[in-house]
Amino acid sequence: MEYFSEGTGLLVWILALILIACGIYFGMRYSKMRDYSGQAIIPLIMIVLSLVLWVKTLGFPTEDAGPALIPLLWIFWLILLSVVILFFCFTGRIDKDPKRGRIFFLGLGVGLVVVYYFAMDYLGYFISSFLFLATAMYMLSYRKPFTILLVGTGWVLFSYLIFYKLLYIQLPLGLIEDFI
Amino acid sequence: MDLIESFSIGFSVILGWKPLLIIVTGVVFGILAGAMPGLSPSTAVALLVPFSYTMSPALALILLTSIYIASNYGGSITAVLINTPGTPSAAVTAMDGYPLTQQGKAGKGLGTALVASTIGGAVGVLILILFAVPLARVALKFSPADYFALALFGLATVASMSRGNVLKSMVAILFGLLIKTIGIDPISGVSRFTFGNDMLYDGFTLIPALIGLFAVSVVFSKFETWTGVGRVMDKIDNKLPSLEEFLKIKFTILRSSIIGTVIGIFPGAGATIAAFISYDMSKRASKEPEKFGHGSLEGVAAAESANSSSVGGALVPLLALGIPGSATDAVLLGAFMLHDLVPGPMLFQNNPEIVYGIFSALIVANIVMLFLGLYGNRLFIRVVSVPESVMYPLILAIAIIGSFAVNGSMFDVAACIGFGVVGWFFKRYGYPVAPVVLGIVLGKMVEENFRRAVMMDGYGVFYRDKLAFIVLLIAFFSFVWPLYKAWRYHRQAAAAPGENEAKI
Repeated sequence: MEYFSEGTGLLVWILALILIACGIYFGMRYSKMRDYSGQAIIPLIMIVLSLVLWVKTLGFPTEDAGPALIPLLWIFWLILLSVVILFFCFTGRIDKDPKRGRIFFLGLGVGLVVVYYFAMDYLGYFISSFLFLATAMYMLSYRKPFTILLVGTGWVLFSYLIFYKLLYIQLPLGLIEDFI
Repeated sequence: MDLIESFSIGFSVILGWKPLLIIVTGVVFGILAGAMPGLSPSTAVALLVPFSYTMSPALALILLTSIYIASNYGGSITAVLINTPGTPSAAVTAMDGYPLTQQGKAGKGLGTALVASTIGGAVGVLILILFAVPLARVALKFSPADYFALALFGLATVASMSRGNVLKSMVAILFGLLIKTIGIDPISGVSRFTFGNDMLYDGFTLIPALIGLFAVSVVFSKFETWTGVGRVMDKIDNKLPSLEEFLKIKFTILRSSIIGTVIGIFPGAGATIAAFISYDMSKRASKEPEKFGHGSLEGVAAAESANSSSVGGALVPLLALGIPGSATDAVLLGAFMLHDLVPGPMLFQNNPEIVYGIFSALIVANIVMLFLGLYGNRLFIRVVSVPESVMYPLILAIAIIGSFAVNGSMFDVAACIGFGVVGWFFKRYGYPVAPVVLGIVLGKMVEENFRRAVMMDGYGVFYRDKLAFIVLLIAFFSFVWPLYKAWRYHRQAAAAPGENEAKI
């Protein structure tokens, strides 16, 4: 098994586990168990995560009360309890999946945060924060331009004075590096 | 060092314009954050941790504990006025507080909540001082095996008392514990689960993980259920309850304060359970139980005094043993670590100014809260009326800068966003996030003490050490008992199909 703990072997191991987990999930999704398929996602992820970390422990030094002891203990219990929850999902003895919310809207929100994260490196913290706040407020249907401008500018000033000047946090400056 | 001498040290820390300003700031922020639906006390404290980096440890913890105590009262404002509890524990307050508003007596509801919170908070602090100091003295003699057992007991009770089901809570705890094993092994120095990434050598930084799980996940959940409809606050009357009305409920406040503190001491029980139990007990003991649920001042007082007093109770295991009693305590533990402090018995010996500074600050914060509540409620209501479409982007901005500020690392920001997604996913499928945090926070303590105990005395130490054995036994039963109850429920439901749906 140690082949799977490093390099290509590890990649194959991870891909195989993900494929099996996806197979179980989609198997449930297109069967009578579809109402519980969402509930199966977290136990499946936990099992995959546990098995990936378990294979990594094979490379740890073997000694009494060594570095692998506690991770193996948690992995054992996590797999056991996840399997029990998965069993409840298969038998329908768990709450049904919650109603599908505005997943696209959520995706937009998370996407905006991710764009904000990457923009911080290029545009700098202050410009990207202003743009993020204005876009997020607009996305959440806020339509008062003056307030949007005020909140964005206010936050930039606040973070500049408190974090940059008072707490000496070296925020990424990006485009305005030469001006500050 | 006697108690009076210790308190003189504690009060010397908070007397001065700077500490007092910090207490007032903490109380104002705590009330506002508590009043905003979706922002729990743990979220409020987590968001303000980054602002405390450059403060002295004493001032930083004074700020955070002031927020903690005030946010429990803040939750009652929107519970009473618009039937939307600002904090989970304020749901009990809403049961009688909102009917009072409907009857045009919002001032009475808010006034009762404020006075009950203040008295509850004071009783909680008093019991905290009485319990924590002697407990810390006893804890000095604890062995690594005892600490391991106590930490495990804390985790087991968190799982067994959490709302939702025990299995999901256990999975959440184990996930947190497993996350904590990432990085350099504290004993052997072996690199674990870092996948060659240098940024993971110290594991995930605690504060970004907390902010992600508590604050960012709330915003993501809100995005998923976004309707675009804001809150509407009616104009309120400001007439407070009369002295006669307060005297009528004095025993309810006192009883609920004691119940709240005692329940708060148990890890995982927290303010919500305290509020529910004391509300129920007050209803049973009341001369007018029929008024409960229809605008009873006793009901408001029972819920508020219990949830505020639970703060003092929850701080007992944190300060005396280093074991967080609630999600907010877990965040506070993170703040202690950030300032290179380890809560527990040694803190009482090495840093009495911190411990007694916190005690003194909690007393003063209660008084400040009373005055700010009496004269500032109208202002708080205006601020809380800020549209959610402005508030949630600002929470994200605070979360991002807060995560960055810990180490000046973009990796921490990415971790914060990642934990936010994990938190949203957990909440969506009914897995509580507080146990994840407790797992992360207690993971190191559990592992180090377990391995030290084994290396020193072998595996047999856990039954040779009487205290460790008893505590482990209690931990085992507190985990197994709710599972057994759930199994019995399943069997009964299966025997009588249709009456109860058997669900975990």
